[in-house]
Amino acid sequence: MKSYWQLPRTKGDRVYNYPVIGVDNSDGAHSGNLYVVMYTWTGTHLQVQVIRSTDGGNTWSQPVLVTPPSDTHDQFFPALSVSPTGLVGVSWLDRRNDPANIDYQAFAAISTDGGLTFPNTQLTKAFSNPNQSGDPNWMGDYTGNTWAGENEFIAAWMDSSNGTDMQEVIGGIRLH
Amino acid sequence: MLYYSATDANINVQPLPINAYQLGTSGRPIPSPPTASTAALFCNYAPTPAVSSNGTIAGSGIVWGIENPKSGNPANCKGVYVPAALHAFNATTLQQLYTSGALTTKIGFVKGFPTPTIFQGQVYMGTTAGPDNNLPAVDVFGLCSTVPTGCLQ
Repeated sequence: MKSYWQLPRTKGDRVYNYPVIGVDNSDGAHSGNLYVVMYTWTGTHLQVQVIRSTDGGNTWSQPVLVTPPSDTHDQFFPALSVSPTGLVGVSWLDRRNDPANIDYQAFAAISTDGGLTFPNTQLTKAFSNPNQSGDPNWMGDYTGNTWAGENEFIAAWMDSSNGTDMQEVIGGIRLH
Repeated sequence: MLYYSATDANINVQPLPINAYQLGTSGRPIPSPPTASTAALFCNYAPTPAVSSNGTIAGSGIVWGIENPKSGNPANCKGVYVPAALHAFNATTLQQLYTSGALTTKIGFVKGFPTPTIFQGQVYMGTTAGPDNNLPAVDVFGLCSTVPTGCLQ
């Protein structure tokens, strides 16, 4: 049993596909919504998607793409959290800007409409190469994100832009 | 209270409980020994607990943990992973209140250190399923009386 995906086009780093769940515990328009971020394999690349439930998990929406349709490179290691006011923050690693579809950058998106749309924000300009993990099998197993109050979305991910090894780095989006 | 379950960097070691620690306002951050421990033991990867309560009602706290079990619950934790199990414990005594391990319908597998999500009386777990156990899934736990289509048992 394989139990994980291998990151394409590199040495086979494992990328667990564990769904990340968030709930809207606000008093806003989408209060009570459940959100799950995950990725799927399209046949050509890994693609990040979000589904939502408005009835406590009894039924779920069709997947919503987090990235624009023009992004046909790998997107992986997504994480999700919901702000105190109901904003849905997603962060992930994305190879869209590398023509070879190998090096990645960190991206994030904040949905203000209950998970219908996800305007993208690029968190890093520097590229990271998964092969610089220092280990033959994995570049790391987790990314994560959270909200610091209503306006600060903070993400953490693995970054090898120093050209030598993987390091945990933190970035994010400050609203207002 | 602080709830913590140790895990070991080595994969095949003895299983360990979830421990509860009473935090003080001064002194060492984690006192020892724990004030309570679960009878249930967990192999790697140890649960990352989550806590819920019925509003502010005293004594209603529940500690939730997701077990990533090994086949046969071996004392040395050697073995293959089998479908995950959700556990619920009294937040004061860590006495087990519920486990999904006895369900006939097995839930998905888990990876790493997943945390249960508790919201409005239901508990949500991100799992994986499918022939290669790498497709995302969500398992939902709650009172059967709240589910319109009936529960899986």
